[in-house]
Amino acid sequence: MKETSFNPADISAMADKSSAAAVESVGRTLERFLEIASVNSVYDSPVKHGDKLIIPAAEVLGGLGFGVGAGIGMGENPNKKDKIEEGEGTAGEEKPFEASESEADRKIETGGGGGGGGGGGRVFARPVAVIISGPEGVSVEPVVDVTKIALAFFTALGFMVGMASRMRRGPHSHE
Amino acid sequence: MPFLAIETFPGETIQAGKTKITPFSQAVKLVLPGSRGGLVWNRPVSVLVQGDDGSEYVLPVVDVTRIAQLALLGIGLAFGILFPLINRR
Repeated sequence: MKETSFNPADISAMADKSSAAAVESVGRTLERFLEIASVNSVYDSPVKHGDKLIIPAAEVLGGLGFGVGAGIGMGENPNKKDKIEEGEGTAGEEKPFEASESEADRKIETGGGGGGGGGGGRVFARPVAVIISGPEGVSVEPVVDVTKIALAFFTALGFMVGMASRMRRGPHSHE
Repeated sequence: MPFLAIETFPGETIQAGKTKITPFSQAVKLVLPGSRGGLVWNRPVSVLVQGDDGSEYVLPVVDVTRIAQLALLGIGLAFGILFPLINRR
């Protein structure tokens, strides 16, 4: 079986090319993701309701992250090394390598590279207001999220009650 | 691509009877170095209303939920800072 010798420069170039392609792909995805910054993602198409025109408006929050990596590895081929030793010990036999091969080429006989990447993202949207246009004029009606406000209220209340009770007990009450 | 960008975009003008409505949105774009990710926060800011008589006015889009959340957070923090100071006296 014919053995293939690896040039470290070729492997490195292959790894660089693969990494560059991955980064380019990531860049394209990021550009497409940034398109959510357009005005069309915030205002929906108008809805006609009787003599009124309603335009819903929402807040959009999106996050995205990527990671790519590539690596190469090179080493001596142990089988070939054995052949060298065998070849050196036998007088008159043909040497296993050509005379033109350098010492570095002989030593680095095996190699490989690999790469991988991953990423994730999420987009949140929340209604903020509704723009109503009717015969009486244009108005902006807010959309109030009572659940979120109640959660914030109870969190603040819990913090304040906890703080007050801790202060009343004094700094060394646990001793 | 800049690291941080804050931009305001006008939307398409909508004809509602004799009135023209142009919505505006503001986007905060944060791009991590090396294009490894990013964050986009896009929200409505205002609408420009143009009447057939040539009158123009801007209506702000107020996020009541966000204001209420921030107010409650502020009250909690103020209480956390002021209560120990008052209690010490």
